[in-house]
Amino acid sequence: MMQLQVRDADEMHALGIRIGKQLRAGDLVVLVGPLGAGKTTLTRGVGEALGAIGNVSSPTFVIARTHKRESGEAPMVHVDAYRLGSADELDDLDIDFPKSIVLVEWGKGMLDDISDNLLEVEIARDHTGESETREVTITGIGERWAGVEF
Amino acid sequence: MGAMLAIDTSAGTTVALVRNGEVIAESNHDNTMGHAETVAVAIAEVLAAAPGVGVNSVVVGRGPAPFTGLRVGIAAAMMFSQGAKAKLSGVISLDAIALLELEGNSAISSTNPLLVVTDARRKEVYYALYSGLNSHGVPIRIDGPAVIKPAALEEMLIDINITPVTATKSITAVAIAKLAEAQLRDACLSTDVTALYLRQPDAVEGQFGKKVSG
Amino acid sequence: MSKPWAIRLASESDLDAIMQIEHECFANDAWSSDSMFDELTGAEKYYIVAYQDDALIGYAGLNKLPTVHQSEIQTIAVLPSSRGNGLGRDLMDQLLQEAVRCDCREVFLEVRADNPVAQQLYRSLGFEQIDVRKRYYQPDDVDAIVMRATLTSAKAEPLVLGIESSCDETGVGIVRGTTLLANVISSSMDQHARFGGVVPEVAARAHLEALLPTLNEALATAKVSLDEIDAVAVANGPGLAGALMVGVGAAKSLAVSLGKPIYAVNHLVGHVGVDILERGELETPTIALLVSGGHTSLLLVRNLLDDVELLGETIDDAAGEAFDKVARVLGLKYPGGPEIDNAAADGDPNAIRFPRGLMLPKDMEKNRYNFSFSGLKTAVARHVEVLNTKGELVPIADVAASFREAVVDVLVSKAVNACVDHNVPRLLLGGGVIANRRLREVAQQRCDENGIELRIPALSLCTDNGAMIAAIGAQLIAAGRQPSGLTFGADSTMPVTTVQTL
Repeated sequence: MMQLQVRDADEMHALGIRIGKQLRAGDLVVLVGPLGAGKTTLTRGVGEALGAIGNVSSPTFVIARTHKRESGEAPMVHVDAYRLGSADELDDLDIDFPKSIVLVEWGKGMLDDISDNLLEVEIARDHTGESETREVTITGIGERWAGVEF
Repeated sequence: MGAMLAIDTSAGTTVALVRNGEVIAESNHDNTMGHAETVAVAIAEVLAAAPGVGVNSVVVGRGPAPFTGLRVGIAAAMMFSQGAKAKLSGVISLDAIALLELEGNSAISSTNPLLVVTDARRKEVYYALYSGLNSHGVPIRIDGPAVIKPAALEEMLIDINITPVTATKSITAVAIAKLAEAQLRDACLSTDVTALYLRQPDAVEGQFGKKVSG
Repeated sequence: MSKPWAIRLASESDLDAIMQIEHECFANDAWSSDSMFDELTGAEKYYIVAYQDDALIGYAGLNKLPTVHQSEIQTIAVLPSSRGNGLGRDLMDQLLQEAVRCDCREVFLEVRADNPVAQQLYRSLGFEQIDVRKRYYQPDDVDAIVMRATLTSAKAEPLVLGIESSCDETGVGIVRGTTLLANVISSSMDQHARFGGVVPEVAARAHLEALLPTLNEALATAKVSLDEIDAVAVANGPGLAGALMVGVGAAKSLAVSLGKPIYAVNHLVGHVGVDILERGELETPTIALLVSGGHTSLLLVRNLLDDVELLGETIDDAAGEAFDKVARVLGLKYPGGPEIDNAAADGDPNAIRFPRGLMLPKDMEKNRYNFSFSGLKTAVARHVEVLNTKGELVPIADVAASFREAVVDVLVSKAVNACVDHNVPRLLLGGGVIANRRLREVAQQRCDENGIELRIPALSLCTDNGAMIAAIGAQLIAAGRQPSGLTFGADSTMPVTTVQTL
């Protein structure tokens, strides 16, 4: 588990790039944090590192967006579980988890049975509103993430 | 005389045109993704094999299946029946697999039942148990369909002291059609085409011993 | 085709079977065998037969006069036992298609005055009475009504059924050319009728359940039957893949069952093209601002079917999404748009100056036509949080009004800039967020100030709907475009530059 201070959107984007460089097919990342924490910003960074095609913007309304990659490798699937009532509805999206790199915003608790390995990125904001800095806690669950650093 | 168009997308995409028990044409595609791309092509293929034959009945497999693809098949069946002014019916896909396995297999009985198991994702499976075929050729389902963790299924079978014969065949539209024709003879072919998701709130608890009608 | 008959070209060997039908159908008017043989073998004659289970059940013939771009329907006959199922229409369609293929502009026919069923069929195909030949049919002493159809009208006014399932709404729309006949959206139907009381939240499951009721209501509203449909159109992207797939599977299958062509069209282009249903045409070039829950895009439309350019879009949240999220922050219900509008009614839009995303000078260079609502959303959330922490009351009306003002300001400013920059004095609005009255007000104001003509279609056409999809389908047909094949899939990230998928 690691904790980082991220000072602004650019740094969040950069963190996303560092994470993205280590992702591969079958990886599952859950992004936890309140509105405006920077989940989508982070995902944009991941998308850049992966060479994702298409605009990486919030998929709240469409729930999931699949981005093919320039290299043709495993696509990046950007999911926003905000509107989903249950894990069953996540199923309905029919995501090919083993063959994709999946990032799920608001996904805490929805992904339990999908994989033994999970990368949890929790982004906390300063509630007093004084500072823009985010505290990011990255927890790797399962063999896959043993010893992986960003 | 009109023909029956059978569609199932609970696994891959499989479509068949059947009349009076005879298969006029079938089109089977294994890919468990890409149903939206394939279903209409398959339908057009089987129809082209029999020009001048009208479809007066459409039967679709309702699952259970976890795939979005299941909905594509049901949607296609619904709309085709509207356009062709054909009757629309639904069958349970697991029952069709059972029919394939039970045909000519007299070894199956209630003490030596047939177990049909399919992937339900989320590390679970769908299952149903069958004791044989009735006089009209309709599989007699004695448990399920339900969704269950594999370990729990094993436990349950041990508890009731059953070592079933596990089905190995895959679903085909021809099987769907045969099942429908058998159910027609048995006057139990349903017009219900709703998709079977089998997870809450429509989950049916598998209870061994309770007869679930076919 | 799923009909119980098939149609093919006639050959000499069909003569006997045809003559049997001829005698049965025409009694006193029957042609002689020799005459029929001449017809079947003549140059510039086009004869077809319909058969069922290897037996002939009907036939029809066309005489082509290519030098004058005209054709004449020579004859059409259907066995009495096979009537009433649309075979007559089918045979006529084939003849008319052949006439179109030969570049005929007019088609003529004669019909007995005592045959109202046939006359009605011809009228429904676009034929009009132009003359009467008294006592033409002898010995029955019946007048002949001469009818004519002008061919371009048939192609320019196709009856198209459009299916939309890209996100939450299941929409089925029916148009005849540029005329709207029906626009049914599943959420506007009685909840109980759709689902029997249960309301699923997420798209794909709901689409399956809403499909047939929505289709049937559309047909009933348009007062047409599926047999009359000339083509099916479906939105195959962009949007939610699972939801799109249901519509795609359904539409293709419907097209196959009817033996009609299918057109796979872009959902966003549908939003732009919907204005055709109100005005009969889309004046181009035009700037289009599409704002909905899932999209915020600024487009330059030079030609609806061939030249749609994406000028900019949101780099984070869509505008509609921002409304939904801010509504939640303020403790209001879903959907956020109308809730915020109501809350903002008594609020002061200038109470709080929330940030206008991507409007700073440096942004106006790099991201001139792009949008960003995430910072705004965060600012509102932060503002409310701070008040809550301090134990102060949140002035919901003011916050809602100020937030809304910031969104509208950005949307309209960038849209107007696009018009001015490209020297295009037309702005079209589309998408569900257009329901927001403040957006329409400010858009009208700023457009008036800048000499820009503003077009806002009816709200029922702005939200996701099937009519806009049918409208694009009709435009493609009128432009003579090839239909789509049967292998296209759903594309959740389809770019706006792809109008039709073949």
